[in-house]
Amino acid sequence: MYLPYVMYLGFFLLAIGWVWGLGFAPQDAIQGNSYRIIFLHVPASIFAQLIYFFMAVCALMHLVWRVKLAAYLIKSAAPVGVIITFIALFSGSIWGIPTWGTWWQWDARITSTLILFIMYLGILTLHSSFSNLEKADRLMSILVVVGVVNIPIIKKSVDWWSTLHQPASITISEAPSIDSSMLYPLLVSISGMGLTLIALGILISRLYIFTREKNKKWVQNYE
Amino acid sequence: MSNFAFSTLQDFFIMDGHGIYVWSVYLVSLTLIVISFQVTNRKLHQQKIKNAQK
Repeated sequence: MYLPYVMYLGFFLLAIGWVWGLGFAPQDAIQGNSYRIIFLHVPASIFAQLIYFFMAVCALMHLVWRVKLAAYLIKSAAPVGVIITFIALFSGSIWGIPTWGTWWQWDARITSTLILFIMYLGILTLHSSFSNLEKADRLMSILVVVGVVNIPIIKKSVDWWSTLHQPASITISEAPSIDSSMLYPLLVSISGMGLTLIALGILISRLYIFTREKNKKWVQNYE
Repeated sequence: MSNFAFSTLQDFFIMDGHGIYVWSVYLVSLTLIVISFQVTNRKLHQQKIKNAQK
């Protein structure tokens, strides 16, 4: 019922954040205008990792307490993860051309994000390769839990290794290293991206439940 | 929100030669997100019809 509101609010905040960032935030002293990709790249990268973390929590719930819905949520969140991780990699690659002079580098942050993208695809492929859906749910959950090791590697890769990728501009524990004139539109873009992806995730999960539970009476009677 | 960062609309689109990178990224990503919503919505609608026919 609330889904359209979440979606429209997400798109509205994205529009505000992007117009603000693209047109009104000042030019970066070193990178010039190419830095404006940050208002898309950073939200995408944050949610690429957060979605996996959410899936890992769901996987534990499914494995420990046998919560069926948790497995459905993993299966529905993974396509959102594929889309947003692709956007993070794509925007980073394009940003790399004017900034680093290359669209790809086998650098720790970029490689670990590519592994995350492959993990999302692998999770979906694994699930669809079984006809026994309960078994598929269980194995998918195990794979998600195993793959969660990649998340701290992505997060810490810029600190552990000397990488081409710059360290995080905003962290939870420290003051942001970017000016407030760039930080505020970035925060609005992050909020907008979050709500948009939540709306997409809910929509995909609804489709998945309606498909998987198609023989149930309540699904057939659902308006 | 401060003033518009560019002197003309043309400067805004060109962005000192970086416009092609910036705009292509936003365009591709937004298209991908919008298509995902549309495809899912259409599939959901079709599935609801199928389920109701059972």
